[in-house]
Amino acid sequence: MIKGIINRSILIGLILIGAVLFLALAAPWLAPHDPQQTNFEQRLLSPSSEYPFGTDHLGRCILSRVLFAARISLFIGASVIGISFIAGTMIGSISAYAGGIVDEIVMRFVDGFLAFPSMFIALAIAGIFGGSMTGLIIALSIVEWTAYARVSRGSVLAVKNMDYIAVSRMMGGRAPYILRHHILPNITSPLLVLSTLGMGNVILAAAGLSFLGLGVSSAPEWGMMVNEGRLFIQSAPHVMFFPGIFIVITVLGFNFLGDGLRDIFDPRDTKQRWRLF
Amino acid sequence: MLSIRDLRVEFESPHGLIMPVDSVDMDILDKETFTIIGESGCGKSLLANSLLGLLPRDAKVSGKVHIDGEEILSLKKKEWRRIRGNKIGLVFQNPSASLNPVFNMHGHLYETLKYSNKPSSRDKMVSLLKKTGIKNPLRRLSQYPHQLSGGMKQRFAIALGIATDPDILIADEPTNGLDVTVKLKIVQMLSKLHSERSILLITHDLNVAYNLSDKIAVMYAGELVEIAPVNSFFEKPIHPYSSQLLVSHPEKEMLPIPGFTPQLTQRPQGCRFHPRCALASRKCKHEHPGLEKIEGERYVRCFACA
Amino acid sequence: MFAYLIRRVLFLVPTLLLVSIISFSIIHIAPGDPAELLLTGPDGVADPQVVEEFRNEMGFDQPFYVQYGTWLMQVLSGDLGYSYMTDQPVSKAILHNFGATFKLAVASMLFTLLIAIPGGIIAALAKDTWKDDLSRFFSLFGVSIPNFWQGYLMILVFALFLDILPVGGYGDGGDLYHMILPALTLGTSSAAVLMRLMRSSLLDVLDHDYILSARARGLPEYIVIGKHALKNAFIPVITMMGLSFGYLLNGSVIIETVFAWPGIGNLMVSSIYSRDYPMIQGTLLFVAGIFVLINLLVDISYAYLDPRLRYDKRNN
Repeated sequence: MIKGIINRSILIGLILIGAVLFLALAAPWLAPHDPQQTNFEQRLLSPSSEYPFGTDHLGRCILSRVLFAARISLFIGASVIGISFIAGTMIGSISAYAGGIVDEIVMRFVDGFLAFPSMFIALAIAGIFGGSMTGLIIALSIVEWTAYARVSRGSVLAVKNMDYIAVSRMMGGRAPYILRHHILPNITSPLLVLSTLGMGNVILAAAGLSFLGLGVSSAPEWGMMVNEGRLFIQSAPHVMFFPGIFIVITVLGFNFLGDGLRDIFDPRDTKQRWRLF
Repeated sequence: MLSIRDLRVEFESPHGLIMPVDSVDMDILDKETFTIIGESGCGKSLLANSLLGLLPRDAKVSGKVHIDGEEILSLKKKEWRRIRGNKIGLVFQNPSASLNPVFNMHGHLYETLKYSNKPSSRDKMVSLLKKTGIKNPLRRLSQYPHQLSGGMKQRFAIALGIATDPDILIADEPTNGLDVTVKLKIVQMLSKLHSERSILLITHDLNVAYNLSDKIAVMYAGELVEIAPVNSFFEKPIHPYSSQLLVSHPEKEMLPIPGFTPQLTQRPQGCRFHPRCALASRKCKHEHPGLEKIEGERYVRCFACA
Repeated sequence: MFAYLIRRVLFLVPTLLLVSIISFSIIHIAPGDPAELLLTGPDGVADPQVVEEFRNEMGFDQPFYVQYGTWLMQVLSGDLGYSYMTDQPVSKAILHNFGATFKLAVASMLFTLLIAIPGGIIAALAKDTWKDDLSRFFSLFGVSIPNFWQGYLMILVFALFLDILPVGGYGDGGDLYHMILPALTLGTSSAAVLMRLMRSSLLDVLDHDYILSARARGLPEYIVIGKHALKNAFIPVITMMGLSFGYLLNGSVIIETVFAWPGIGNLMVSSIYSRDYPMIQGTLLFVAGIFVLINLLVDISYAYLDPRLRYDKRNN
């Protein structure tokens, strides 16, 4: 059992996320240059010992920018997931717990959002806010929360009618108490998987929107850096290469972790052998 | 016909090596119905599956199984196909799960006949369905498993089992989960098939065993503890476990015996039944009894009564 | 079956109503007056007089529900309004661009299936071997790579370095030559997702007794897997294909920008840049409509594939 807790995917995921997190936190000490410092004499330099990842079209140090950008991406990811998790779980649980007309209305509302390809909605909202970090976070939260609402609603419905809830209710347990002590602990594992995988998706989407110029523009951001580098793709491919590879590493980390967690919480693969007896 | 010697099925489990089927010896004669009875979890179904090479990849099977003189346990993966269906047919327990939900009856039968090189004509199918007591066979052919009743599914599963005309038909709990009248009809139908081929019947229903068998074997914790012709078994069971099985169930419906079936990982030393046995002596606690021939065709695994 | 369809379609009405509300109101989320926002150019805010006139003309001075009602009535009569930028009918632009996206999506879907189905089957059959590990890694990698970055890498390798494919553009009405790179890039993540699903779905099916039973009847392995297992395993995969189409639409927003493909994603991005509200509203409504329609088709094909649903009325 202990051996099963940490599987290979989880380990790889934790290592990748840990590495990116370390680079983000230590960026001020690790970065060789000021990420915003332009230097027109040192434009589009190839990687060298002074500029390990080279410089961009304004002569800025790409390594330093990539390191600082890690902070932005993790911050956006954590904010969006945090907001969506709290809002979605609350709405979903309350909806399931209340049932009846409330549940019906909330679920139709969720269906309405799920009917859109999420990127279009996020794009529209981020665009309306005119390309700012706040706009980006709001836009991505609006498309992300529905998943949490659905999962928590489903789990609460499954748990709601179980005997121990009924007993607790008979003994005079009040709704908030029951939700907190009986229901929430039961729905943490699917939500944990969802939010881990969600981190990866949100970071990708945020980079995509920033790439389109609808996200962060005041600070270095990976997607935006790729966008800046695309004009020099032939002469200086490193400008777009390094930010991209950092997105891959970060998102891969969350996806490995989420995939590994899912294997633990949904141990379908292990069931087949022992079922025979 | 079929002879099994020292058949063992082992698995590597998180708690060490387990042996759900342990040194089974038995012979099934031509056109004989041989029944294995025992509580669920004693290893009967696993024994049946091992005869067709249908165990999970990590199972270790050892021993010898001869059918018509050919040893089959050492067969290669591809050679098993020759045995499956053609020599040994298997009717699984729970026909709801063993029929493919997206194929209708015709689809199931067509393939089965085709790949065992039997004529897959509609007439052949109809005659198979008639034989297993399915009414309106032509209309039934286009129906899907979910449209059939439990009894009908079981009949159809048996029809599939005999479609390939195997020398031995293994029927694993064919009456499980059916209500009494349906059960009776299935038993009647099986007893008609009885004269055509050997049948290895696996059940925990003593009534069914009594009505269909020529020989009875009792399985406990992976081992056969008694083998006897059906009449002498029901007249006078010898092994203490067998007699408890019969005594404790006036309706001939098997109910649990006091005490627990030992878990695969915690089998008692000595005789596996001794913790639940009234006759247990010191010897039973420490030495493991062998399956001994006592009279005629009766075999029993017990120090107290051998 | 027919009753099921009717029920399913009726169920869509409230969803579509909400979709229309969301599509219409999304531009009102931002703080501030839309008329003022719209007329704010590089030289700052426009003359208040002009803003007032514009507000009047566009109906922004009406209460929200009146604006929505007017718009909904128009939409129901097939009129999505006119673009602020080109004065072209919105519906015409959308239909025109959707054709290009549809082409691209179909090509991507083909590519997706070509990779995902065999990949998933091989991984499932070779579970816990290096083949399975490899497929797992590729799947995770496929969903982790940002598509815009992947697009430029493809351009770098195939268009600039090897010089065998074009950098972008629509070519002669979206010919195959121009379609390869965007279609491959667009299909990568859905191929990854579908491959994993194909694997787990097949593993799930292989665990059923009817597979063991098919083997016990002496059916050859290629029939057991190829017919008995796959026919069941495809059912969830087909559902996912519908959702994959949603992924493809999502991806089109970025891919079409990278490869200058004149599709609906491209239209959406440029409408956002120019704050072309009727175009944004119309596009949102349209893509949601397409998405809902696809899910309906998926449900129908699902019912067709699974006889348990097909005969739900006659089932006793």
